[in-house]
Amino acid sequence: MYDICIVGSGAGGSPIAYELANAGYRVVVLEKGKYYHEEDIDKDEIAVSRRDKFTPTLKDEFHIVNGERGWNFWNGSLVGGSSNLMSGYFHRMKPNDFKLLSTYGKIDGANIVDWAISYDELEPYYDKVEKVIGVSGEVKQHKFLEPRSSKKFPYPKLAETKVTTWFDKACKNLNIEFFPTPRAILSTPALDRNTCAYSNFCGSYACATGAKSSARAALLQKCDAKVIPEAFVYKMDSDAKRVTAVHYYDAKKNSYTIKAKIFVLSAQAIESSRLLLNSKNKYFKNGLANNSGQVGKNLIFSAGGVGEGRFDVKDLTPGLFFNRSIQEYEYEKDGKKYKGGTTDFLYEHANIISRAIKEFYDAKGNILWGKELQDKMKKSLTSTKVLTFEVFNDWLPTDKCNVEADAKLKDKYGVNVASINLYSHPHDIKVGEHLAKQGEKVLREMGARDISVNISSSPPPNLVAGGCRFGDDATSSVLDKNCKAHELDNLYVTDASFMPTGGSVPYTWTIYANSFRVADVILKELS
Amino acid sequence: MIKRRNFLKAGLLSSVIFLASQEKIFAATTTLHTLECMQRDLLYDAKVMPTYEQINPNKYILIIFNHSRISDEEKEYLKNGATWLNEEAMEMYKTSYVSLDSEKRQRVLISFSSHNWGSDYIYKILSYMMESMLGDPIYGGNKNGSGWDFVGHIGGQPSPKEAYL
Repeated sequence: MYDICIVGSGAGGSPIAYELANAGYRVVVLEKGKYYHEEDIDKDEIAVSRRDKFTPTLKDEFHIVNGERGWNFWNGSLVGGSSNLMSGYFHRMKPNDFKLLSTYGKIDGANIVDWAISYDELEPYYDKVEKVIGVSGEVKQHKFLEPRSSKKFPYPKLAETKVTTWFDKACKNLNIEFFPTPRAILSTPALDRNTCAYSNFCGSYACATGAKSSARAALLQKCDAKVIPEAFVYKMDSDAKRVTAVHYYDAKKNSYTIKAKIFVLSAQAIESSRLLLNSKNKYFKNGLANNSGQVGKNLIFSAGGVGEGRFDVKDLTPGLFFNRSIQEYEYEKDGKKYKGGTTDFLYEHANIISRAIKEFYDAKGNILWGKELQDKMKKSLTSTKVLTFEVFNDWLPTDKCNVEADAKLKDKYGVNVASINLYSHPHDIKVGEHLAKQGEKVLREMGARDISVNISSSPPPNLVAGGCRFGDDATSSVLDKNCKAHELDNLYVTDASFMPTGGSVPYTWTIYANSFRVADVILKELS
Repeated sequence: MIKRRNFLKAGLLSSVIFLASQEKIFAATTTLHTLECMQRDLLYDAKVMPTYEQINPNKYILIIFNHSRISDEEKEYLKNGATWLNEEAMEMYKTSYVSLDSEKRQRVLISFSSHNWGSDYIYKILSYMMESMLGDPIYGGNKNGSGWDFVGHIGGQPSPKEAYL
């Protein structure tokens, strides 16, 4: 019997594996994907971005989205989860994100609540993530800078392209505050890991140097937790009060059982809810920890969208980062206060095949080939550079956005697949459009041409949370404030499922920090 | 042995496309031959781009047809598109695409691209050509980094030790 069994090896599970294993407990981590070490990692665009090497094929494993099959909602099935593939844009949530309802009030049609914990309770763990996982950056004062217990980041900011000086000048001209984007990438050798090699292939790719602060490189490879790759957990058993075992299939569909004192579920929001819903028994007829009917409810994503502009530039040093962000975290319109969000600026991804494919059409939408395509590609790809921005704002939780276990359809393991119902509250688009205007203004001031913006209700599958929200009321939440199931004494859920609202930043830093917080709770319980 | 394996792989695409009208067979060709011809035509008058031989797209399309992560629907679509292109040629010139001269094939492509389904198919074939031209040379295209040189790109490092199939 293990002390702790963790299902899922990403940012939600690995801090617990790291803390508990380093405290001498017997920890096992079950991960559906393969184990890739640094020496296995390459920057093969065809494998990673065209053939989706790190996600299941849709023939074998799929989701139903708004009643249809064919959408790809997978992120990263590999040890360390999608933290391997993140760009590592790291922002903390702000104090007001923890009390969205009491600060900004109710919005019709949205299930907004305050968090069960405050920013002050999570701050020491945000700080811990900077030091243990590794976050590089430079603290720059601005109106919405959150309180910090450490004055500086432990690692200096990454090297930047000279084009950032254009950006800085444009923001100064427009009187817009900006700051260097903190990144979960080491800028110096530290933590027994290498520094960034500036390979120019970061987001979507695993890191070959170990500089990116993935759960694998930063935590699982730094502790003695037993990691079992290619282990798909298909069911959890329980009695009335405790989870008693989990069952998993290996790659050949042999079934195994693991018993432990404490179980931690962190398979990413959609899959965690799916596993609970598929684990019905006589005590939990609607799924594990689901007598309240709340499992799978209030699924959220990050709202917002993207924009871009093109610059006529040559001789740019490839690989150096752009790393600039602006935060208009609160704004007023027609005498009313609105919660705003974050805009990160970055170069268009280095993937050359996808960039070439974007050149296939002329201005009228006619497909090009031969000399015409050659000339367009040559001009665009060799003498211009695209600067993009990504807007992050709240995707409000609603009754219409949730995940269920499909009643009929099963994956290759014979397990009912997740059926996702998507809905974006109209308020999300309004805020996104407001924030995008500022991004557009900056690009214009910098001298960009061909500026385009796309704020939409399309959910980014890599920024998903909710489904097992935490709270003090067991009738309206699945987990208590420590992310333990209200109805089970030894089950914790520590991926982004616990989040009742998402803040207006990418989630990973918050997931890491919360998982370190829960690790302390479990350590206390075991001692 | 290797030759035999290649032959078997090619076999998927070497089945004959018969072009008939009112029960009379006008022409016959194969998917592979049609695709090879089309891929060359999609480089028409492109003298600065890597050559067909450097891109090696016909070998790459064989990889695609045998790839574990390309769906059966996609493979069927690739085969069907070659038939549609021949049917377009048949309608315009009463013969197969491959038996036309270069200028007439361009006219067929222009006509083909005026249909949404034709334009989508060209997009698909060009996409795979870009993979071959700009992907890592380990896949058999982008000879000596000629594709990357054309667009001033530096390939990702570390490069793959083997092709992902």
